[in-house]
Amino acid sequence: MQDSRQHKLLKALPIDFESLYQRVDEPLPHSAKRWWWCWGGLVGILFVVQVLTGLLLAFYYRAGPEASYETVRFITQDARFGSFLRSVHHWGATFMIVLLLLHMLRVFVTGAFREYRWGSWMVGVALLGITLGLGFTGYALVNDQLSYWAVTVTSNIVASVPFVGGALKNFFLAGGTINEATSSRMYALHVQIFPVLLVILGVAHLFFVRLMGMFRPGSERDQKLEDQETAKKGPYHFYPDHVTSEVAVSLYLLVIISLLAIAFPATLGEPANPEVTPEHIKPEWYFYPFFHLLKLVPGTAGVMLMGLAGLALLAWPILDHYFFQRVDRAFRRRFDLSLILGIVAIAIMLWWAVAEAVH
Amino acid sequence: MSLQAKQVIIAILSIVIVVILGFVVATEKAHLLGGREIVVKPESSGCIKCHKSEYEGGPGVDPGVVAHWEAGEHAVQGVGCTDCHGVPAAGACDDLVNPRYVVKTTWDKKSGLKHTELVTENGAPLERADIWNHEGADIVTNVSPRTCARCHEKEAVEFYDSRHSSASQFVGSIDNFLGRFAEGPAAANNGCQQCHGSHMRVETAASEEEPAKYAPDTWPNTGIGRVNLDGSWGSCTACHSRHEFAAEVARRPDNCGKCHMGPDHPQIEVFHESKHGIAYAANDDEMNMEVPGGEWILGHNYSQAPTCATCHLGPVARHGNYAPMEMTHDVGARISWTLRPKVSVMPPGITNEDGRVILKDGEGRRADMQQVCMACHSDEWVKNFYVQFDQAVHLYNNKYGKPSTAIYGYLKEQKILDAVPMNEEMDYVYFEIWHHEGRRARHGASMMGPDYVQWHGFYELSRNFYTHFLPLAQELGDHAGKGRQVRDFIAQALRGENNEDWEKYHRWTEGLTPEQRSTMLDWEKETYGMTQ
Repeated sequence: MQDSRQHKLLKALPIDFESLYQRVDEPLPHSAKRWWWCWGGLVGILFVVQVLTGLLLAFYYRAGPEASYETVRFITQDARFGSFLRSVHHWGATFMIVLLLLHMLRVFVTGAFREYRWGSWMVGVALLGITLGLGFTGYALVNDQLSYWAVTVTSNIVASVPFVGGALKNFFLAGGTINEATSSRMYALHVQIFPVLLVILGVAHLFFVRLMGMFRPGSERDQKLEDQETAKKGPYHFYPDHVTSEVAVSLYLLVIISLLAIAFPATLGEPANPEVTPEHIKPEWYFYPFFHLLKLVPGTAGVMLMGLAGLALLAWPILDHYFFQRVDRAFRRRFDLSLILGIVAIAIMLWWAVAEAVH
Repeated sequence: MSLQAKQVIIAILSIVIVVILGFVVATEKAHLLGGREIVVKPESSGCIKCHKSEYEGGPGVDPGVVAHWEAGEHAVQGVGCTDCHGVPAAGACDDLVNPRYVVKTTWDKKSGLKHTELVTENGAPLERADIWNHEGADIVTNVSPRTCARCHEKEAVEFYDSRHSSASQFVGSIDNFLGRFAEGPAAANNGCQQCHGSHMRVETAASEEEPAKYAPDTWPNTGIGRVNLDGSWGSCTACHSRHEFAAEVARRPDNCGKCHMGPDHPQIEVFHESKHGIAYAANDDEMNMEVPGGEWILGHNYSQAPTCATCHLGPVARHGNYAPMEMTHDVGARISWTLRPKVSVMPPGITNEDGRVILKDGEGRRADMQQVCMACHSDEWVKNFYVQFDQAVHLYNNKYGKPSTAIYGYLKEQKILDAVPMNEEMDYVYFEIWHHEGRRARHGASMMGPDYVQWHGFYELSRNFYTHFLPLAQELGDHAGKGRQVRDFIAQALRGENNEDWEKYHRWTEGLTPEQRSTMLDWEKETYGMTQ
C-alpha cells in the first residue's frame, strides 16, 4: 500500500527513477567493500556538513576589520547554538582535510592512480589545494591575533613567489598589507569562489572515476578471485551496499565531530592587534610541513621548492608512467620506485609536521 | 558485513547523534540575542539598589549614573561602584598607589620631571580628608587617576608624565592673573578651572552620617589637571566621561574641543576647517569609533579620517618600513614645536633618573608624528608639509613674536609701562599678539586650517602689530619723554638678531616699488573696475 503510494508520488515527478536507479546502482568490485574505500565519499559528505554549518554561521557573520571579530565573538558567546555550530564547522574542516589526505594515501598506496587514471588524480590534487585554501581563508575570517598574524605571514610567503608574488599578495589582501577590504576578500574566497570551484572539480573528479571505472587493487590472481566471488554472490551494488557503508561511517564521524565540538569547542583569541606580534605564530596543523620547510629553506628558494613539490604531486601519474615504472621494469620489478619515493616524501612531511608541532 | 548489520549500525549511530544533540540543547545557555551581561558584584549590589531604583520606595537616588555605568564596558567586566569609589584599606597595597593616602607632587619645569611622594603626619601616612563610611564601606566621591591606575597603569603613567596632568599648575601665568584678578574669581572658577582643573578642597569634613562637602569653587570640576583630594594631579573623566567611560567619547574631536577652542587656541575650529575635519564629518559613522580602548588602530580598522586622538595619541598599524606604533596617553609625545608661548621653541626631551625616556626630543617627537601622517600620505608630502609649517612658525617668531616681546619688555624695563599686569591698553595689545593672533596663525599652520593661518592669524597679527602695537609703543615712549630711545629700540628690534629681519620682513612699510604699485592698480581696475 505504502509502496504503491510512493510509486504514485514519485510518478508525479518529472524524473525517470528507473533509469536513475540503473545509473546509480553501478555494480562495484567486491574490493570496494573495504571500509577505507569510504574515505573519498566521506570528504564529500563533510563538505555538505561544512556548507550547512557555514550557511548558519553566515546568518550572523559579517566581514570587516571590526565586524569579523565581533560577529565571531557574538556567534561563539551569544548566539544560540553558535558555539556548537562553529565548533562543528571547525572540526568538520579538520576532518575534511584528514580524510582527504587518507583518501589520497589509499589511492597512492594501492596504485589507483595508474592505468591512465590521470584525470581523477590531477583533479583530486586540485581539490586538495582548494580544500587547504578553504581551511586557510576560514581561519583568516576569525580576525583574532593568531588569524591576523597567520594571514600576515602567509601573505609574505606568497609575496616570495618569483615574478607574480607581489600581484598574488595584492590580490589576496586587497592591497599591499592587511586592510579594511582584506576580510571581505577572504570571505568571498571562502564562501563563494572556493566552494564553487570545489563543486565543479568534485563533479569532474566523479566524472573521471566513472569514465575509467572503479579501480581494482591487487594482482591478476586477486582480481580473478574477486571475479569468482562476484559470479557466486552477485555484484557489490553502489546502492544500497556502498551507500549504507558510507552512511554508517558518516554517522560515526558525525558522532566523533559532535563530541569533539562539545569537549574541545572552537576558541577565540585576542582581537587582531597589528601593534603586538604574538610570541609564537603558527598556522593550522595542516600547514606545519610547509611552515617548517620555509624555516629550513627561507625566502624564494623555499617557496619555489614548495611549488616544485606541488607540481610533482600533480604530475605524479605521468612521472610514474614514463619514468618510475620504466625504472621498475629495468630492475625486473624488484621494487616499486613510486611507492618508495612517495613513502619517503610522506615520512619527511610527517617528520616536519611533528617537528613544528613540538617546537 | 551484511547489509542488515550496517542498517543496525546506522540506527544505533542515529540514536547516538540524537542523544548528543539533545545534550547540546539541554546545556545551551539561554542567551539573549544582542544582550549584554552586566556583572554586579555583591559589594556593589547595595549601591545599585538605592541609586538606581529602590530608594525609600521611590525611584533611585540618581538612576542616570547607574544607567551610564550599565552602558559601559566596566559593567560587563564586573568593575563596580566600590572598585572606583571605595578606597583600599590601610596597608592593602603600596602606600604610594593607595588613593587612601595623600601624596604631594612637584614639577621641576626646567628638567620637566615630576616627583610624587607620600605625605606623612607624625610618621604615618596622611589619610585624605573626604573618606566617608557609607553603608559599611569607606568611599570617596572624588575619584583620582591613582584609582584608575590600579587597572590602567600604563595609561596612568603616560598621563602623569604629560603636560595634561599639570594643566592646573599655571598659578604664575598671565592667564591665571587675568582670570582671577582682572576678570574676577567667578570667571576663573567657571572658566579657566573647568579646563585646567581646580585645586580641590574639603569645606566640611565627613561625619558618620554625611559625606565631606567639597568647596563649591573647586567642585564640580573635570579639568584635566585637577588637583585631587588625594593630592594627585589629573582627571581621567576630563576625556573619558563618567560613568560610561566609552573610548569613543575620547576619540571624538568635540571632546577635545571643550577646551581647545576659541580665540586663543582654536584647534577644534582649525580641525573642522581642515581637510581632515571635512573627511571626518563625512565619514565618522564608518570609522569604527565604538571599538574598545587600544583597538582603534589607524590603517587597521579605520583610515577614512583622523581625529585629534588619531594623530596625538592613537596607535598606528604597520605600514611601509614602519613598525606598528603604540598608543600613548601623553598628548605631547608627538608635538615638536611649542605653539603656545610668546616665541615658539622646540623643547628638549625628558629623561628621568633611571634613564627612562619620558619624552623624546623635538626631532624624535616629530618623527613619531610623521609616522602617523605617513599612514595616509607619502613621505615627500609629509616632509614638505613640515617645511611649510616650520616656515609659518619662523615667520611668526621672527616677524612678530620676538620684536613685540622685546619692545614690550623694554617698555616695562624703562618703566614706561607699570609693573601691574593687564591694567593698560598696551598689556592687552601685546597679549593678543602672541596669545590670540600669533597662536591662531601657528595652530592653523600646524593643522592645515588656511583661514586660521591667514585671516584669523597673520592678517590680524599684521594689522595689530603695524597699526596698533608699534604706534602705541612709540606714543607711550613720546608721552614718557623717551621717544627717541623707544624709536631706536623699535628699529633695532625690527632689524632682529642678525640685522636681516628689516629687509626680510618689514621693508614693505617704506612703500611699494612703482612696478608693484602698478601691478596692484591694474588688477584692481581689471577686477573691480576701479582703483584705490
